[in-house]
Amino acid sequence: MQAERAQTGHTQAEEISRRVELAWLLGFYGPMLTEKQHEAVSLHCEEDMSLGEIAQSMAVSRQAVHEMIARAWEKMAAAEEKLHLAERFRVTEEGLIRCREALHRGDLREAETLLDRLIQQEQDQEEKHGL
Amino acid sequence: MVKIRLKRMGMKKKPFYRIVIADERSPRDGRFIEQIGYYNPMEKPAEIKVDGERAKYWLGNGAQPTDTVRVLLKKTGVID
Repeated sequence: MQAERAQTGHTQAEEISRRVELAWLLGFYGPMLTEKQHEAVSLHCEEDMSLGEIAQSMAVSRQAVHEMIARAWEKMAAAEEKLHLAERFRVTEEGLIRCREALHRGDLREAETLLDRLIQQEQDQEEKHGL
Repeated sequence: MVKIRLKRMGMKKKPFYRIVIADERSPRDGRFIEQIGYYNPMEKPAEIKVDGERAKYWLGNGAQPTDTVRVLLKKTGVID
C-alpha cells in the first residue's frame, strides 16, 4: 500500500476524489475506452478494488493495470478538454433545476433568464468548436 | 476474508456509493453482506454517513477496510 501511494503520489484523501472524478468521467467517455481499460477503471472506481485485486481478477500484472487506468484517464481527460461534455452536463442540469424552481415559484422572468443562459452556452459551444 | 468497501450505485452521471461489508472475492457479482453507510460526493461538502456501531463490530471481527473506506471511517471518527 505504501508503494502504491508512492507511485501515484496521491494522499489517501485525494485518492477518493480521484476515484470519484474517474467514475464521473467514465459516465461520459466510457464508450471511448477499450474493453480492458473500461473493465479496469470500472473495477477501480465503481467496485473500490485495489490495483493488486484488479490485476488478479484480470490475470495481468499490477503494472499493466496501473498503465491501463493511467491511459484511460488521459484519454478521458483529453476528451473532456475538447468536448466539455461533463462540465456542460453539470451546468445544464443545475440550470434546469433552478429553472424548475423558479417556475414553481411563479418567477417567470428568472426562469427565462436561466433558459437564455443555457441557450447561450450551447451557442457558444458551436462557435468554439464548430459543432 | 471479509472487506469493507465502497460500492458505486445509481445512475452513470450521479456518483453515489454505499459502504458495504462484502466477501473479498468477486465484488462484481453485486452481493454484499450488509450496508453500513453511504458516501455522496455530489453534495458539497460530500456527505458521509456511517453506522459506527456496525463498523466497529465488523472491524472487531477482522473485516478489512479498503484505503478509501479507511479515509471515510477516519473522517467520521469511527477509527483514529
